[in-house]
Amino acid sequence: MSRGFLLFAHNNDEVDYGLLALCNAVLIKYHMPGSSVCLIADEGTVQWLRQSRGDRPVDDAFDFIKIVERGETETRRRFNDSASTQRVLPWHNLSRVDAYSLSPFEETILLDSDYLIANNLLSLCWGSQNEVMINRLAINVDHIPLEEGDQRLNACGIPMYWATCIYFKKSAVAQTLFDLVAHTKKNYNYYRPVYGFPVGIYRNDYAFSIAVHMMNGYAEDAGLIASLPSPIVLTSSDRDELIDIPAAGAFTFLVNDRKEAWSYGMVRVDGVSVHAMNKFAVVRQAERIIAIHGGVAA
Amino acid sequence: MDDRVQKALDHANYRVTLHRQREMMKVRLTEELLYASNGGIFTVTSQLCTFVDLLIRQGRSETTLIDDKGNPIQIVDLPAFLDDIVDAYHAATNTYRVGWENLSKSRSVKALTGSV
Repeated sequence: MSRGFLLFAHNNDEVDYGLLALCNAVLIKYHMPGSSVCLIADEGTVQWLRQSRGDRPVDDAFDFIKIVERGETETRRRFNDSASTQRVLPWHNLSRVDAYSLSPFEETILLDSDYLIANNLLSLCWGSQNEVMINRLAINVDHIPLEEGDQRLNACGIPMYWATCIYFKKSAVAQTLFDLVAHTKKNYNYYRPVYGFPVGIYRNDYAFSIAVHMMNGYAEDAGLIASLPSPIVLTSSDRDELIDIPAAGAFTFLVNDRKEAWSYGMVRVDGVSVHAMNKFAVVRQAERIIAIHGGVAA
Repeated sequence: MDDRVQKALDHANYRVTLHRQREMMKVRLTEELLYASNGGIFTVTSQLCTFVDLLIRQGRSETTLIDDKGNPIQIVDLPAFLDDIVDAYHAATNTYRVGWENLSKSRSVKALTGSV
């Protein structure tokens, strides 16, 4: 049975998602040698990746590259680069819903390109009895509880499931989940008041949360959809700064204090994968990530 | 600033960082105690090791165990399974102990985080 990781990348004016995906592919292959990685990207992103990095690093990192349309471009969102810098940029995240049909694998682990892999834990998914696995729990790297809006869709709402990392195998259950996500995406403005999530741009986490809720028979936690081997997504906010890669599988963050924005603490994450939301910071560390984890230099 | 206040603030910063690093080690321990077999995912605990050992002592060579996700998983070679989970338990707890001891010996934020 074919197995592999699926990464999406659509560059915007300032964030090089292609490079993020390349870093993550290098991390995946370092921690889980022999893994296959498929990149789903638009033509411009792949062209820029090959132009900026060269063909060999790209071909070494990705076993498959599938070109798709970038989709609508009117979505814009705020990107934080630590607590001091904000940018409003286009955001192209609409093709993720097609992951089921786009995946060339029988068993797929769909990852955000900024979910930095630091161990081989996800390899435990292969051959799982569960058709779909997705996490609903997340913690910050500083172990301060997530804000309410990151735990539930609203204060009295359904629990949030994180589309950061999803395992699925080609099956009726997974097909249903992605069909429901596509349905939710298509009817996003209808489901906003129904589920009471905040007004704003389309968010995959909300669409997956609603789809899981539907699959659970509209019950909060009927247990029909299992969590991943480690049921918690370790998260670093986009207000934090990734400042160093001290060793393979290790990341050092300056963590912003949510109450006192001027204040930062330091956290070193060793051997645990982390969702590093400050994409600019990951791009700044890209050379070091690639060098330490044995990737091919540009 | 008064020296004593500065020292107190520095110490508070150290304690917060120590706490964070210890919590991070617990997350890592939890993950390293996971073990997969025959499509099931198990958290290796001393109870699981003891139970499997009990089954083997009773002369059983295979059994069905319920994994972390509630799936019934057939274990066809219990002695090999026991060897694997005991190895995983040893490796994870040993890494945890060494890391914990290193943190206990580290007397500054820089030492705690191995920072640049």
